Amino acid sequence: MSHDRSVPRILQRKSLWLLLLLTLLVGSIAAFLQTPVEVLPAFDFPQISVTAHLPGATAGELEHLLVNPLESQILTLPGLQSVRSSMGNGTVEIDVRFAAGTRAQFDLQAVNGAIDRARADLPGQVRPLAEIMGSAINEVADYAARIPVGVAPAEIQRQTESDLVPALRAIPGVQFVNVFGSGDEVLWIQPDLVAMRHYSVGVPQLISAIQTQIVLAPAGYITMGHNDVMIEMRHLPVTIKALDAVRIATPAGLVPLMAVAHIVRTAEPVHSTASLDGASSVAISIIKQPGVSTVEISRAVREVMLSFQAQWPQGVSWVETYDQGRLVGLVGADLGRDLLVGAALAMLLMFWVLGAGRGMLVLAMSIPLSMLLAVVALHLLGQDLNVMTLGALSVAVGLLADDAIIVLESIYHRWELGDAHWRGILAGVLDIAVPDLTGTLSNVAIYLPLLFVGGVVGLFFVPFSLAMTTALLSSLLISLTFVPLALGMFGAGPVEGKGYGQRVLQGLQTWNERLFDRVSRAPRISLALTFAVLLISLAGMALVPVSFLPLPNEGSLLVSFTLPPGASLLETRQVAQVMTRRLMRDPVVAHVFVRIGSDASTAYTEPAYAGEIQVKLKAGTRVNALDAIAGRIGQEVAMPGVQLAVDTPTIERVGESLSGFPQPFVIHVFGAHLDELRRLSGQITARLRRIDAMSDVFNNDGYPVNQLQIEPDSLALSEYGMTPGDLYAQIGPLLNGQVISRVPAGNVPLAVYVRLADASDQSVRTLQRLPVKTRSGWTPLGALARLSLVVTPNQIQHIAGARALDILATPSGPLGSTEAAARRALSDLALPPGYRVVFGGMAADLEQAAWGLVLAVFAAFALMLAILLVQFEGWLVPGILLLEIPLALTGGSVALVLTGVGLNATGMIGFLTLIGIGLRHSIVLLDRVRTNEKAGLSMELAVREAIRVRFRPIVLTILTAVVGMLPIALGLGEGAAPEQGLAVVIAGGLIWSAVRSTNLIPALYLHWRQAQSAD
Amino acid sequence: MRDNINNEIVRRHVIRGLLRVLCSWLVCSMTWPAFADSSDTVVVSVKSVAPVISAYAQVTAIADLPVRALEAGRLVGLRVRPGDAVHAGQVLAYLDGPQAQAWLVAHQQALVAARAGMLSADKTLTATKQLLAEHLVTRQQMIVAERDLAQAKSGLNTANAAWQAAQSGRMVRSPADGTVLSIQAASSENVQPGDSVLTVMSANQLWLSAALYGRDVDQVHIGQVAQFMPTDYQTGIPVRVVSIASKLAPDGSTQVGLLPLVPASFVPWRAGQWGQVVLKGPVRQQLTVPTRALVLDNGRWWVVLRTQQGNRLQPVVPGESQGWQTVILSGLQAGQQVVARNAFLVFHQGIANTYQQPD
Repeated sequence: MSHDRSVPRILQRKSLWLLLLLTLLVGSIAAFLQTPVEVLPAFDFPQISVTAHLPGATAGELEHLLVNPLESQILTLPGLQSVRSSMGNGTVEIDVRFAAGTRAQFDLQAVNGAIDRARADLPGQVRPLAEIMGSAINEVADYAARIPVGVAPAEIQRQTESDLVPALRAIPGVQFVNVFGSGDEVLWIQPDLVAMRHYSVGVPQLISAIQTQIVLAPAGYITMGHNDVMIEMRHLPVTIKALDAVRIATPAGLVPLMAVAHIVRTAEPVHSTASLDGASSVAISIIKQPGVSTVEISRAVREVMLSFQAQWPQGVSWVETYDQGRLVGLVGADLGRDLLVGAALAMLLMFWVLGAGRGMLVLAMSIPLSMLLAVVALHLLGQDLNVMTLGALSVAVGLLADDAIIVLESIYHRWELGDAHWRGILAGVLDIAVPDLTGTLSNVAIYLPLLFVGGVVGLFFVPFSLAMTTALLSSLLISLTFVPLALGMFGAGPVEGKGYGQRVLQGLQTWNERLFDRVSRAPRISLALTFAVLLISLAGMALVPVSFLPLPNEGSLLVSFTLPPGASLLETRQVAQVMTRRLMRDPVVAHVFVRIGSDASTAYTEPAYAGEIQVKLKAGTRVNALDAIAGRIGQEVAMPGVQLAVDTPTIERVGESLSGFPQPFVIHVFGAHLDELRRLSGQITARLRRIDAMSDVFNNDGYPVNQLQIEPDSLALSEYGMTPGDLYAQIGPLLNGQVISRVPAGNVPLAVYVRLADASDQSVRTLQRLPVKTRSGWTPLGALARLSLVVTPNQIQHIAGARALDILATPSGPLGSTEAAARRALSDLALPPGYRVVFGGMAADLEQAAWGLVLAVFAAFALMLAILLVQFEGWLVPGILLLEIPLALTGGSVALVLTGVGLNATGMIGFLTLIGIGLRHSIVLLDRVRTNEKAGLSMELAVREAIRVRFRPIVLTILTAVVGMLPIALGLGEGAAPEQGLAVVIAGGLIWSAVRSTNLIPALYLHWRQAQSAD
Repeated sequence: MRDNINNEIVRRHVIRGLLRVLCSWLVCSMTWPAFADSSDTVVVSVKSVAPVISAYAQVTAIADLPVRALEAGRLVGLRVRPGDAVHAGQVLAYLDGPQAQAWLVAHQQALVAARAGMLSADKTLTATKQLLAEHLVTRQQMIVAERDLAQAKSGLNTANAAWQAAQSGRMVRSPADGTVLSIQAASSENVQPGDSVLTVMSANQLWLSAALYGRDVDQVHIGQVAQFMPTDYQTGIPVRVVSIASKLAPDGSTQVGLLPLVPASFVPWRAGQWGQVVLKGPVRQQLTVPTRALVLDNGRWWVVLRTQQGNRLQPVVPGESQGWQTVILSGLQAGQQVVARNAFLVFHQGIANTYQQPD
């Protein structure tokens, strides 16, 4: 133990620090293990979406049967901000937004309560599902069954629902398991109309005869033998033979059901399909609870699927078509790799420059310690590990070494000056503490505005900002506490002699001094030149492709397609078959899974004329090729009349999570009658199309689809003693199908279903001839009702319970002036009484968000300025340092232009990071200058000495960061795509920042300082 | 020099070869669209089309013969069952019981009385003849005696006939050859005169009764040939229309009667069989297109016409569909080319301008 009294003895006790370190380690690891790892941050946005399906219903029917009852309850909830409903093609989606600041979970409970209250007014088979917006991203795994010819998909679906789904639901963290593809297996009673006519059996009679057969009910109890013995009455026909034998009373006596109907056990006809590689398939999708680790769920699901392999009929196997855990695993693996590479490279660099020693060990330990501390802090703040926080931590890895290197270097410098062990440590820490602190705080201030970005964008940026802040603060804490203490404990010391690395550094320093000589002779010209380079680089950015998020390599692509509204399921299936065949010919495609329409049990909302194709690529597809593959696939499946969009599954789910948000520019037309609304929207659309600053004017809601209306003729019906209800009781089950009853049969009940076998193959003429049983005999439907083809809107919208049509447009000019032009164009539009036009869209929200962001930026700027003013008395240094903000953009822009890597959200955050790093290094250097001036050195000497002293740590940290980012910048590894732009920006920017911080900034300081002194 | 000449020759060959390839490519690229296009379209042509009407039909007897009880009594000896064949005059049952017996006894006693009256009248006449010879009675008395005898004879004949009828009325006989359709009374049941005991369907009196509705009747005429498809038979039975009812049935249908083309005895049908009768209307020459070429949009029917200037959307009025073809009532002319492959997608190929894929 040293007798150095610089540090109190209690703090020199190794056992104390060891205990503390162990506690920290154990706590950190526990927190890390408990922190869930997901793709996106948990959405806690107070918007709830309610989805309900009633297959076969048109927009008008959905409005009457589902939307009105649901809205009547939902609109009474407190704290509502907006309620938007859209209905059509058998699906209803209601988006309920609550006031900002309410908790999404409580809002969900309120909505579920409203749904329960409305349930009595809804049709029996409808099951509304309410979810917090953003739940689509919780779909973590999809599997599709390969079913050989000869095995019925309905049988597989039944076995899946009965056996596999309970096992999957039992996995902790799984919220839903959806099964779809085929209709449920049913006992389908297909009436023979000719036989029914012969035996004089009507449809209601047929249905009633079957319903009365199915009995499973308690019938009391008797006491015998000291036991209460329960009585059960049971008659459950679960076989075709049992149903065939059911007797129906006819005027000619009792006839068996088989005489008037054909019974088969098959799939209920549904308006959605799933196919794998062109063959009918059954699919399952697993949705996890929010806040649960994706990777664990994926792994558990895979194990369950494996365990069930032997139970399927021969030839049936399951193919994994989507696995979100892969993406999360990739990002996590990359982080681990970066951590190792970063630590290893930092160690090597320091070894190369400063020589071998225990100091390297301390440096190596500081990086993972800072990371662990950051994860603990995130956990305590309620954040989990996702693409945003992991992305932030990936960036921070390069910066975590920065603090430790600066402190280490400062201590080493003191030792090299001759300070004793602990004294050198203390002095080194004190030398660097203030600039280190202000540098870190300035960095943190850069990310502060992101915390105030509200709305959806804030959902992404707030976690990123928090992760960066915690990482930076952890790094600061570790560098100012652990590093000096460990150096002291381990007895590290300065290394004698000059290694090869030191000589290289010396050479660089000499070169830098010469450059500084030139720059300091003409600082203004240098500044002007630097700005010129900045402007050129910014101009060059026009060549850089821009996207929000790049395509992460999930090993699969998603093609969403839409046919014209109203297209038949058959047509859509044919188109999907053609697209599948073309895709299967592509050499990189392994599997093609197609989903058309939305099963009633799911929260999907595609109509039968739309769907998604999941293209699973063969293993080993490189990330760089993904864009090219996506482009090629888009061309391969292009067909006239079919609209396509190619993306990756996770990006698509992000989009679905965000659906329900209004478009940037939308006009709502309110009114009572759909025909009038359509007419008005047509007029508005025509006027808007004349505005130049508006493109893609769409009147989607007014897009009409065909409908066959059956309107009972009251006079004809009364002639036969019938009511419209009686008529529907006969026609409805035949054409629409009806589940008469559900018979318990194992885990899943078996439905007894009645419908004509060829119901959808009828034409208007054959429908007119459909025989209807009347009291006088049999009369064709055409004599009792009017059948006419009419046109109805594809979709109806409600806003706050009122009917509305939406007209969408993309403003190509500024939002404010475009809206003003639109208002002018519509100012003289004649509106009937009760009709109104309202401008909606996110324009107001975006403006508000923009104002919020501007204020936050201003506040951050002011905070940074305040910190700098406090540290550096006077305005000179803060003024020079603020030049860093625009100049920091140069290096990153040049790097992007030269490499051709696209700019995306992470790249933009990279620019922010550059500003922070540039500021930090300049602060550290200028602080040294001030210290030197206070020590009595002349201005020039003070500057040169500061450059000489700070050159090594600046170059070291920059080199460490650049080399650590190199694997990502080069796009090595499968998961690098989201971070590649970020790495390129930082790598390029850091080099330029180093040159600036050690030349231009001190030169400007010297120039203006000399000017100040002259004054 | 020689090398240069050889090189020159090779160069020219290569250039010629390249030019040939280029020309071929140009020709193919100019004509390929035509080849590609022609496989997507069909030519609108006139075809002979006969409308097809199908209706529910059942084999029934033209008329049923009810067999009634002529007298009151108790029905005995009824041994026939529905479906049994019977012949004309066959005794199917007897009437017995006190009522029948009383009826018989009454007729029998009437006969006895008539016989006794006849005997008495005869004896009276004989006696009167003797007395007339002895001039003990007048001629007038003789005439009265003769008259009484004649009356007695008539009475006897009447009583005899009544007695025969009473005996015959005790027996329930089949009026014609046929099949027992149904039995309305049971053995030992008391019946009154006129009660229906059973119904017999005459042999060779079956026909097909079909129910047509609405405008379908307008396309049917007497003598029209049709095909009867019984539900349980695989082959149809050719029939022809023999009657069309002049008034509607209560359910609004018109009953149409059809008989087989071949003699009834050769037709393998039975009373009660049911199925569908398929009639073909008059053949007309009409324009047809493949059904898959028709597109329904905005409540109207369309086809995509391929013209020299490209594709054009044409509204049409379709008629009946038969097989894979649909009759076009208006909107097209023979010889026009209509897109048949991917017609729906081609029709909507500009949809991106008016409809945005929902997010």
